[in-house]
Amino acid sequence: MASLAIQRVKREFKEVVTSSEAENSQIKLEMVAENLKHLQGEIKGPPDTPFEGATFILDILIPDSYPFNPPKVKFATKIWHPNISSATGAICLDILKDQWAAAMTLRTVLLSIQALLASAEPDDPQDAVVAKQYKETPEIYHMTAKFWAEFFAGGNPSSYSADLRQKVKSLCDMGIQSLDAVRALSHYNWDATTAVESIFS
Amino acid sequence: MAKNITEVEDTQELKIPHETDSCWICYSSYEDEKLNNPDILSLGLWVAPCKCKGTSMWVHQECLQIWIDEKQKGDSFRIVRCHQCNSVYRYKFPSLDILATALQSLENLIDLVSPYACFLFATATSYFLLTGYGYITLIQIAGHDQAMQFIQDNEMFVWVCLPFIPIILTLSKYIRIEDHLFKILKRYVPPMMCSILGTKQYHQIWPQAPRAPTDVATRRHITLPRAIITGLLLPTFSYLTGNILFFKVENNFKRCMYGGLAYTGFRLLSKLYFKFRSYRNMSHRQILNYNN
Repeated sequence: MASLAIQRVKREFKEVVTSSEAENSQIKLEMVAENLKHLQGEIKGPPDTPFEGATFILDILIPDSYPFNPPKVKFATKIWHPNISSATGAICLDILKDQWAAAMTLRTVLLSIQALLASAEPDDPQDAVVAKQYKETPEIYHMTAKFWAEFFAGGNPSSYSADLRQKVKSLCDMGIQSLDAVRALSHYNWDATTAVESIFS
Repeated sequence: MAKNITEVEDTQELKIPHETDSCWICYSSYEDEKLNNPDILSLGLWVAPCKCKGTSMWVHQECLQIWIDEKQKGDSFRIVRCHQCNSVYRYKFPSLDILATALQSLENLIDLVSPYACFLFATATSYFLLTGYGYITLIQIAGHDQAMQFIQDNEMFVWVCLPFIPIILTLSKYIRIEDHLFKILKRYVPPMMCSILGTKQYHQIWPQAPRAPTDVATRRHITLPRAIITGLLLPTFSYLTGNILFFKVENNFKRCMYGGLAYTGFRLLSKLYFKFRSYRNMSHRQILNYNN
């Protein structure tokens, strides 16, 4: 790894740890590998969104050409959002691609991803199924995103969560893995019959 | 230009990073570097390349060079701007020697001329291709000796007109004679038949019951490949039909023309018949109920 990248990440690390956002525990950055090549970020779901109260883990890989090329960031926590793949956690965000600038830092990246959670871009989707639901049935999207945040990321429970958990449980009783059950139910707007059909066909 | 550069240098003399400034790319601070190397030549290593102030003002020459390389992706003429303030980064190059300057101009000239040359080449190729086809067609319908004689007598005329033969043949395929003919027949035949037979029952004579389909319903779309192929093969079919039906005709040209007329007439009749049948068929179309 180039010495420039190491120097830079070390300094950025300090910046994140001493930042006001870290004090408010909005963002967090931890080392995974000793060589600073692999980091783990953490962001809090922004208020007044389905993700409020949830904590999302991000997987950050620093390329050798950093900061001239963007870090590779994806969600390690499962999340239901139009610009984030519900299967792989890949993020569709311009600053992580062609709009990257060397002046940006891991702190600004984490804050940008947090901002993305608050304002989705369904016209430039990463997950077509989620984006469709977001546009066509916003109330189901809201419910699903909130359920995922609660189920996978420790978000606040909602009034309908017991109902949805019951649906997941009924699928689990048929021998379906809980992750597959949540995925299929979310995919088919919580219609249990279609979800089961899709799994067994 | 030279004057401009010295001006830029003059203003740069005045700019020196502050102790607390740091490079916005690698984040190392001027103070640290000065501690490690008290004789640091700040002007060569540090640069303030844009309008930005504060933490985005200073950057290492070396760091910004890599960023510009990354943004230019091999195109050394591409303009790179500061991401925040949008100012264009400006550079100074040592002057090139005569040979290198000449080579650079040559490269630029080739880049400039190539698109035009390419267009010219494509045009010439199409011209020769079209003329070649026209030439073959001329021989086919007029016979070898007569065609040669004609070309010798009207040389200029031939070189201008031959390329238009395949173009006209292709375009002619877009004239749908059968459609127009059918329209006329549809309008005049039923009343005529009625007066001849002395009946008012249109339905028995003209098959537009139980409904009259719109013109669009039976019109076939002519695709470009179809127009090209059938257009270009028309002389061949005329030649073959002429040789089969009118082998007694001595004159090659006349034989081909008769063949062409016969072939086109035959095609017209068959198309007309098909159109008549599909029109009748369309008028009996029934839409089904939805069924799982």
